[in-house]
Amino acid sequence: MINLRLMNQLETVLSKQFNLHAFRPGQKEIITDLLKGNDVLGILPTGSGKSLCYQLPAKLLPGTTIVVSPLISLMIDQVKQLRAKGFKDVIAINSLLDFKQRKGIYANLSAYSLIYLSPEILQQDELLSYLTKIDIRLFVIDEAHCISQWGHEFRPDYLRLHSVIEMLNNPPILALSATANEDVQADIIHALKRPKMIKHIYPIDKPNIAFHVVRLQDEDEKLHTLTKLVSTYRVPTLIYFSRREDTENIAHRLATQLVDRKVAFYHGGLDAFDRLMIQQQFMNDQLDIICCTSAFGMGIDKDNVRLVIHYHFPAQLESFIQEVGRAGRDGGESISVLLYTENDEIVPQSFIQQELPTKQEIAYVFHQLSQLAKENKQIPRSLPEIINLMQINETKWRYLYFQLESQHILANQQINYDADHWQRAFQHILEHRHARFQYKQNKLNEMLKWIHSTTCLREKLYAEFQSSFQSPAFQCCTNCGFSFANWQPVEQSTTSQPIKTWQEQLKLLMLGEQHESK
Amino acid sequence: MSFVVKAIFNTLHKIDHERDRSVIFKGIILTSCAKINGERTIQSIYHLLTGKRSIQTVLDAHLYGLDHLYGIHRQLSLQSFNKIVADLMRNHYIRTSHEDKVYLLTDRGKKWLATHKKKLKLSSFQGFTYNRMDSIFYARLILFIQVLANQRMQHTAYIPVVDQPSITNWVKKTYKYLYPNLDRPVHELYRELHQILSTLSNLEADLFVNRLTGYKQVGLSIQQLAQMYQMSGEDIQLVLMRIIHQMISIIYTSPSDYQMMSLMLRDLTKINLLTNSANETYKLFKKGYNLQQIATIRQLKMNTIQDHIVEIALYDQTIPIDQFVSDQAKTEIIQAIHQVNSTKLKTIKQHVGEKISYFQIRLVLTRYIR
Repeated sequence: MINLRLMNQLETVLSKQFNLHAFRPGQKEIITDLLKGNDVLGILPTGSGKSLCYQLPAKLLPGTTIVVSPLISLMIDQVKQLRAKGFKDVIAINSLLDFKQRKGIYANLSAYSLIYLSPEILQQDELLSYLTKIDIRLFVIDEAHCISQWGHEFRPDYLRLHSVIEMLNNPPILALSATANEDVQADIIHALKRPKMIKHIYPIDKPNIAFHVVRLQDEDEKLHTLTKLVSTYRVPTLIYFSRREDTENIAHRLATQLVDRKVAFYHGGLDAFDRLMIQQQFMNDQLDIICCTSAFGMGIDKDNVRLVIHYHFPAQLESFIQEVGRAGRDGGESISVLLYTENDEIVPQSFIQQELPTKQEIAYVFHQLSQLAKENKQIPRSLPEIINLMQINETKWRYLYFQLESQHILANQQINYDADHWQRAFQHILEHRHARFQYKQNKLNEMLKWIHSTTCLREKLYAEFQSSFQSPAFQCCTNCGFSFANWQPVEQSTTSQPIKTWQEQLKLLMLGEQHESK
Repeated sequence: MSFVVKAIFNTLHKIDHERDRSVIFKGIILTSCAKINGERTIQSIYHLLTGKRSIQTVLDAHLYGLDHLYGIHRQLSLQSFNKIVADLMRNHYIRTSHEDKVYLLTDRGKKWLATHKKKLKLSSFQGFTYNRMDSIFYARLILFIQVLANQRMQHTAYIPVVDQPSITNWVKKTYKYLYPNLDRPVHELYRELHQILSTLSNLEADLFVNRLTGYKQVGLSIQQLAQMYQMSGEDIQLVLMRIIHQMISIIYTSPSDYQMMSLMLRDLTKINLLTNSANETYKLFKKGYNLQQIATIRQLKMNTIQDHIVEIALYDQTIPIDQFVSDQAKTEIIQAIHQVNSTKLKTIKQHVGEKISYFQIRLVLTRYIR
């Protein structure tokens, strides 16, 4: 059996290609099942090396491995990091590529052993026709919880994946997620139509992280507490914010107040080059503190982050668990601090509002569609045109488009008009929208309930996801008597030495240390 | 919600403003406004700075003595441009002239420019002359430094600071050419950089080096440099470009002193910097096809092919334009230019006969540069 031979090579490839010496829990088990040709659902905590579960088979198997990944920036970063490790036959195909680049890649698809794709681009007939011509041995769905309508990050395009997989000759599937409760897991298996999928579920709790919630009077006190906290502990620190402008403003303030600390900000609005520079500086210990939005963290394997502070909290526990999970990957004692002031929920609340269309907006879209239908027209092809015509944002349109499609009102650009049916469909969509809103609202309430909880925070945090949790390796949480007095982390100073002259710096950069001592 | 934060930052913002972080950007806009003196719209300055490849922009650049600022900030967003124009208006450095969309310097603007003129060192820019080769040179240089620094430590797992294939391929090729004897080129490039940076101000040299990435030492982002030097991101970009132009000029003056850096410039001639599409047209043109044939072969409109020819003529002063414009037409166009005392295409067109096309006027105008 060819696959038996492959399995003997696992350790060799691990050390040669990935420069790692042992598998982390779950990795080998999942890879072994995949090489046997089984479908796998893998739930592994943040920072456990999920991506190795497909990167290694991609290297080992003949043919090509496809990875569907929802975030374009993450996809691009991963490809760059893989190439840096010498894994050259890997590519990301997404909407950022121009026509010519795309053509060049399509003409040469079989040359890649690993192809990252966005779910949207996988709907394009042209790409699909090229994909059907190559030998695909593994189909990976990253952030697979996006497939569940009742997951916290539903992406309609994920529901179409099973038909794509069929077109590609039904290769084995690997569905990966860090946070999927049992309902979502069942949803994933159902939507992919692979009832025999083997589940590999690993506990997501982190015994080395303590949870601390601090309640504060107002914004002023919050800022003061934050400043005091990061000035007391010089350790690699992440501070999460809801809004981009806050990351910039607070980073600026901290940098001004704490002159011996290196502070940077990071959010999705930075250009790709600067984003990568900041990530690399953090990995290289050139930075102490990063003020960031949720865009930061995925795909970053810095193992000594000691402090994760939430200046703003996310809209659901799933995101909170993921963000906190970026602390203490090396198993060292780390702290999650959530700074809370009353009314902090206003921001996540407004995010929920922006995600779902209002009744008026849905009615307007129906009106516009019927106008088009009367004139025997289709809906515009380009997204900006649609958004302009329908007067709603992109997130809302994606949601509605999916609903209209499942109600058979839309098929691609085609509109199927039927007055009676449309009336019922409108009601149906309205109900769905309401249920979805309620679901999101409940998620936010759970988050708030957790913040206000008076019992063990660790127990509460993981209760929805698993039946038990490991006992804390160090301190537990606020309600179990957490105290900063008991936390003495090893000071981690940044590598940046006292400011050098440009002459010294240039010499160091180009000729290195040994020349400096001469 | 965050009223306190906002209050604090409003104050900070005010202080920032007083310190004036965009001195160079501001100086460039004011200088351009002063030279153009209301004869062109404010958008023409945006086209100038972003280096729009249109005959009108290139011509205007030369006509108003602004060719050194052509294309010096190609990434400039229209948003930041509009913002600084609005700032200058609000602070009464410029004003609009009555019904027109044109902007004029106020006395305050003139005074500011006079006091800051020296400090801006705008004459160090050579935008048109080094158009596009500047950024290619810079990308090659910083990637080459990173590659050499990492190879010296025998470190192969790093993310390149530049990922455009045209640049990475050049660096690969050159690296192979120099390999295996890399020690000498490393020391030579170090010596050259040291020497060339010594001709700059301390701040400029410092800023340039801080942006470099080497072995386990990642350069600073534009925002980080902006924070560090208390300048706006735009000014950081502009200072970097000014440094690059100064460097290229020094290298050209004494190439034997800068052998490694000359290598990075050697193949960058103007004609190589045509847009890809114009280059395709140029190849066919050199093979002797006429414009109609080229349009058919390339399945493009005649207008597009004509645009290419104008672009080519702009960069290559040796290509003959006689086959497109008769001597008589040429004389007529030149007379019209003198009569109306303008290089505005529309104005010229109105003064020449029906038979003379825009294409012909543009071609004749390309010969008016330099």
